[in-house]
Order: sequence, then C-alpha cells, then structure tokens
Amino acid sequence: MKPIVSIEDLHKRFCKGSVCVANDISFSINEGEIFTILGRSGSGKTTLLRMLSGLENPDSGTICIGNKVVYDAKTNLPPNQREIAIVFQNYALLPHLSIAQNIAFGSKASQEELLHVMQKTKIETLSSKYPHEISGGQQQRVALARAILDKPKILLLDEPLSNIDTELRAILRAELKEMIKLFGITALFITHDKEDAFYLSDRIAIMDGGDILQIGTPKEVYNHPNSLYCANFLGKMNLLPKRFMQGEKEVYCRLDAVRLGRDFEHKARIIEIVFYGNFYEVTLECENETLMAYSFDDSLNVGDLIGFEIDANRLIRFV
Amino acid sequence: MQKFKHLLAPLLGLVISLPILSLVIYFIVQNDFGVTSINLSELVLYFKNTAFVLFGTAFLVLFLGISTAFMSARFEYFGSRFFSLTFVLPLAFPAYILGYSYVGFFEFHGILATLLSQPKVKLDILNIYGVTAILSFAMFPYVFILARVSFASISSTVVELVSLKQLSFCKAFFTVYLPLAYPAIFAGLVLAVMEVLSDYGTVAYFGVDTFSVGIFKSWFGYGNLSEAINLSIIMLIMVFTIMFAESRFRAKFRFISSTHSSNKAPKIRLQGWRNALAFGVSFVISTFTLFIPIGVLLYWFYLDFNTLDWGALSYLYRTLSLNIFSSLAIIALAFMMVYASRFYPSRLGVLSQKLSMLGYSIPGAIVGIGILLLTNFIDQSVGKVLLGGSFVALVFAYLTRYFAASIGSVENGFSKIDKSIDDATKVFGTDEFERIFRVYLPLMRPYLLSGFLILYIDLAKELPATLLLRPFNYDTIAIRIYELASNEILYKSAFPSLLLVGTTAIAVLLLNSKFVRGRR
Repeated sequence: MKPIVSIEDLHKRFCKGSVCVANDISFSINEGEIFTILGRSGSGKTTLLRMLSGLENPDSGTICIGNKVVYDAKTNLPPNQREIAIVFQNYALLPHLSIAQNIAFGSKASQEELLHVMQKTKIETLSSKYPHEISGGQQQRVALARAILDKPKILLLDEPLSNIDTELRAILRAELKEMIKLFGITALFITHDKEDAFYLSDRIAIMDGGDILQIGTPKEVYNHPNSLYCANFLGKMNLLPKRFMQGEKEVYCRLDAVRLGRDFEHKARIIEIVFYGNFYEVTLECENETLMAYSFDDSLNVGDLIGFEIDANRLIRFV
Repeated sequence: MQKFKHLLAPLLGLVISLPILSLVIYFIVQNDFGVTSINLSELVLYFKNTAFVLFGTAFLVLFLGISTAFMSARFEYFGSRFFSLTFVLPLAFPAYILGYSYVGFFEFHGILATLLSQPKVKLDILNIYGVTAILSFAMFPYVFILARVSFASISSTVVELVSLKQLSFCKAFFTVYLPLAYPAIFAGLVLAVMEVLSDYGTVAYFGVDTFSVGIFKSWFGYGNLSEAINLSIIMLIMVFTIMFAESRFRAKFRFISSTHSSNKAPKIRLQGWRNALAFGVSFVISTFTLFIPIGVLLYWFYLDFNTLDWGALSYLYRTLSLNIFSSLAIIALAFMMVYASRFYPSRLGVLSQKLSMLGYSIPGAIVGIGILLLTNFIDQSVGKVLLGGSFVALVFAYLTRYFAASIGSVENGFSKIDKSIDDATKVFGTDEFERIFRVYLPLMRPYLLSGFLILYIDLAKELPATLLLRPFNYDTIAIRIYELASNEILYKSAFPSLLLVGTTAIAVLLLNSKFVRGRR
C-alpha cells in the first residue's frame, strides 16, 4: 500500500520550549486506512492533528499529503490548500447557515455532487433545516458530508465521539465507520478512548508526551505492547506469579489471557469478585500472590478454590 | 501582508489611545510637575467636592441599585414588570437634564409651589447635596442592570439551601444573596462612579467645583492649557486608583461564578402587605428618578407649546447624523480590533487593546484636552489649521472615550463563537472576505447592534468633549440644552430635552428588549 500522508521529524514545543508536544515524530498513513492516534489529554495528539491540517505551525519537520509537500522549511500551505478536511469535536457547524449551505460552505462542488453526498449520508431531507433543529447524530453526518464533499486526500477526525453519552456513542461510532468505508476515505482519527480506537482503526499509534510509543494493528498493540505504559494504557494486566516466570524477571499477561475452570490443573482461592453487569472480575490468591481474571460464571463465590490456566501465547515481555 | 495583519490590532490600539498618551507625554516633557500653576486652595476645594460627590453618589447608587435589582429579579408584585422598565429608563437621561428639571421643580414659583398653590414654597437644591442626589438618580441603573442579572441567575440549589437552613430574610439577604452579587454590583458601581467623575454639565450647573469643572475653568476661563493638563493628570491618578481597586476586588470574588447556574430559582410572588410594600418602594424610587423629571419636562413643553422653537429639530438631525456616523465608525473599528487580535494575535496587540480601553474610564474633558494637544501639535507641524475644530477631531475624541464601551459587546459576541468555528472557516473557507462577511458579521449581528445602541446612548448624552471640540457654531442638541439652561431659560430646554431623551429612551428600550437580548 502506498502512503498518502507522511510525516518526518515533526517537532513542536509550547510555552517558550518548556513543553514538548511533538518530539521528532515520524510516521505515515496508507491510502484507504483508518489510522488512529490514541493518547491521554495533553499527550500532543490534538496538536499533531492541528499541525497536519495547517491550523498550527510546527517548529520543524516535513509533512507531505498526497504527493505534495505541504510543510517543510520552505513551504507552509494554509489549511484550505492542503486537501484535508476535519470533523471537529463539536462538529463546528455554522449556526446561521442551513444544512445545505453548511455542507457547501467554501466548496466548489457542483449541485449534483452536493446532492449525491447528502443522499449517501442520508441527510437529503434536512437541507433547508438549521443546525440547532437537527439531532446530534444528524449533526455528525452533516459534518461528515461537509468534510468529504471536496474529496479530501485525508479526513481528520478530532474526537468527534467524546461528550456523547454511551448509548448514542455506540450508534454514532458504527455509523461513522460505515460512512468512512463507504466513501473509501483515508482517515486520521484522534481519540483518548481505547474502545473507540479498537472499534474504528486499521492501525493505532499510541502517543504520550509528544512521542509516538508504538504503531500497530489494534490486536498487535493490545496483545504485544512494547512498553509498560502502552500495556497499562490499553487495559489491565497481571504480573505473573513467580512459578510461571521460569527464571525471567517480569512477565505479564492480560486478564483475558487467564482462563478459569474447575478442571484446570493450577488451583487458587477466590478472594474478591466484582460484578460489572455482563461479566465478573475475579481476584485469585495463588501462593501469596494475586492474579486477576474475567469470568461469566455466576456460581463463583469468594473463598472457593478454582482451577486456572494462562495462555502461553499471550504472555507479555518488555525488552 | 500577513505581517501587516498582525500589526493591525496594535496600531489601532495605539492610535485610539494617542490622545491620552499625548497628555501624559506632554506632562512629562513640559516637566511642570509642581502644581505651581494651580492655586492650592482651589485644588483642595476640587478635591473635597469631588470626593464628597463620589462617595455620596456611590452610597446612594448602591442603595437604589441593589434594592431595585433585588426586587425586580426575585419578586413578582403589583407592577413589577412595569417597574423593571422604569428602573432602566433613567439611563436615557443625561444627568444634567435631570438636574435642570429638579431645579425647575423645587425653585421659587416652581412646579412644586404651583402644585401646592403656595408660591413661596421652595427647596434650594443648587448645592453639593442636590447634585449628589441628582447624579445618583441618573447613575443607579448601572448597578440595577448588572445586579439584576446576577440576582436573577442565583441557582435554585442556593435558594433551597437557604430555606433548609431556615434563615430569616434579612440574614439570607446579607449573608447569601448580596455577597453572591458583589462582583456585578461592584462592576455597576465602578461604571456609575466613573460617569460621576466624568460629569461636567450637572456639577457646573449646580455650581459645585469638581475636578472636571476645574479643567474647563482653566481652559475656557483662563486659556491655561498646562493647568488643565495638570488637573487632568491628578484626575487620571484617581481613575487609576479606582481601576486598581476594581481589579483587586474582582480577583477576590472570582469564585462566585460557580454558584450561578442555568437552573435558576423561580421568582417569588408577593402577597398582602409585602406586595404593597414592594409596590410602594418601587413607586417612590421611580417617582424621583423618572416620573418627576418627565413630568417637569412635559409641563414645560406645555407652557412653551405656542412658542416652540422648531429649530430644535435641526439640532436633533445634526446630533442623530453625527452620533450614528460616529457609532458606526467606532463599532466597525472595534470589530476590526477584536477580529484582528483573534486571528492574528500578538503580545503587542493584547497590550494595545488594554491601552485602547483606558478612555472609557477617563472623563470626556480629559480626552478632549488630549485631542486639543494632539490637533495643536499636528496643525503646528503642518503649518495650517487642519484638524483643530474639525469633525475628525470630535469623532476621534468619541472613539478614544467610548471605544471600550463598544469593544465590550464585540468581545462578548466573539467569545460566544466557539474556536472550532474559526478552524472550520480556515479549513473549509476560501478567503478572508468570505470569512468576515459570510460567517463573523452575521454571527455577530446582535452583539454589534447592542454595541451600537450603547454607543449611541453614550454619545447622545456626552457633553464635555463635545463642548471642547465641536466645530465652530456646530451645536448638538445636548449643547443647545446646556446653553438654554445656562442662560436661565429652563422651560425652553424642555422641547430639545424631550427630543434627546426620546431617542435615547428608544435605544435603551431596544437594548433592554428581547429583540437584542434574546438573540444572543
């Protein structure tokens, strides 16, 4: 696959250089993929998106979009010449313009193209309404329609799913993925939510303190994190009991790599069960060490002796 | 080009503050630090009078403003909607017109005497107590308007807490509600006090020599510019002291915004004697601050009806065109300034924006003197009269004096526009022109309108700067009224006064209406 966006040695500091938000970052995004930057707030992910779009200037580095250099020591194209589009966190629809005017704002697309995009995003009936008259889900589709109308080389999504309650969020997330794939767009998605990242992404980059720590498919980064930070950020972990370590210093595993069952060879006592509705989180005591696991079995009780096994293929080691 | 855009806001700020800067520079360069040219006993008199008037009005304005604001925001009683309008309307009156009408009301053979059929009944109000009362009547709406918003937005949880703790009304008022409104009350008070400091027409008519009267005396009376400048600098120091106190106070009470919520407590319907009391208090306050002055003006108008000077209409026309033009120019510059500092920010821009807002707290007479200095300097350098006594000089003075009044509503408007809208227009928009005319001007319309109305009201009431700087023989309606009153033909001033107050009252009502407020 050929890269459509490539970033090299991008550097940016804030507050007179005391805060580093991009520490010589390099990566590329392939055509047609959904690439996610996942990180806590303050990790530098939003600044990265803003530098890519031209809303913020890097201190140094190179940004190429398509085959065009949009930023380097000599070039600095303004946002509207970079062939990018953004779906903003709060959608940023212009409140005084109708839906059709919003989508066509600043675009040179024809009336047919406009209609086509509105049909595909299922908002053709809303064209004369105003942003405050439509639902949050419809607003997302309008923002998406505006973003894809001019067929950008890359679509940037700046946490469009945050600030939305859980139930609606799942629906909008599914819709977003469907639309992006339907139009075959390359997308860069910024989020702090790992669930959104796993659901939407073809590849994920984990970012912290202005550094990209790891890039990989959702499964790769979850099952084979390259640092303790990435591992903890993506989910809970067990430090393996000593007898499973076989001389190694620190070996970890995810909670879902520990299977519980009456017939398994290793035994441990249940010391705590936390009910999460659709599953249980069980804490075991095993030779004065603790081990945690998930379970769907509602016959378990604190104090029970239970068998367990650890999936040897899913052990996590950091070099 | 991009560089130039970053310079726009700093340049604008510099130009706007130029009159005040030139005053300070002149003061330093001339090195006339000693108050040598000023008679010391006069200075003491100015100081005593100014201090008395300031503290007196502050006290009365607080009393009137807080009581009316609390009643209007928290209670429903007989006539409460009507009174919420009559409490705002004194803003339409320049203080000096209020003063003239009161003098006419209480004078020997005046209206009160006529009403009582006792021609000898009179009350001498042409003194410092009289002027203090008049200025308070004219300025209390500043506290009323701001405190009312604050009292009205007290959250229902606070009210529930008060009732759970079973606090008495007095205790709840003084320990909970009043402190919550401190920032708003203080902001209103500062506006009122600054206006009082700036007033020339009223104090001059009442014969109370304050600093602004002193400035006029030294300039018009003795043609002594450097004395006028020295007095201005002393007054500037007072202004800065007040501004400093305000910023300290504001910092102290910053926490308060968290107790105001969108979940507002409902108004209480008053019954029985409480209803009667609220009505009575409101009626008495409005009688003194609004009904008597309007009544006097209407009575004079009636007396004068057969000999009306229709020339007043041409003064009105002049005033309207001058004010509308100036207001539009100022609001347009304010828009440019805020737009430029939002999209092309620079540290210099922030500083110069602060500088440009100085004028609002600086009396019109001082700004006028600053402009005189500046135009003298320019005219002398060019070698002919270019700016002196021109409209440009007058509009420049208005700009310096009232720029802050307009920039407040423009900034407020811009602050309601999410930053992501800026980003969206950069990403999707085509050029600056489209951005301004298709996005920001339409979005800002209600704020620009309210900024325009505020400017219009301020300019229509303005007297000192206009008196100092008006082009030869160019009388605005405010000046015409001032001259008629100065020549002791008070009843003749009624017609132009009604015309002036009529137009400002329309602006005040519009500003207060849902038409402007509701669309924000």
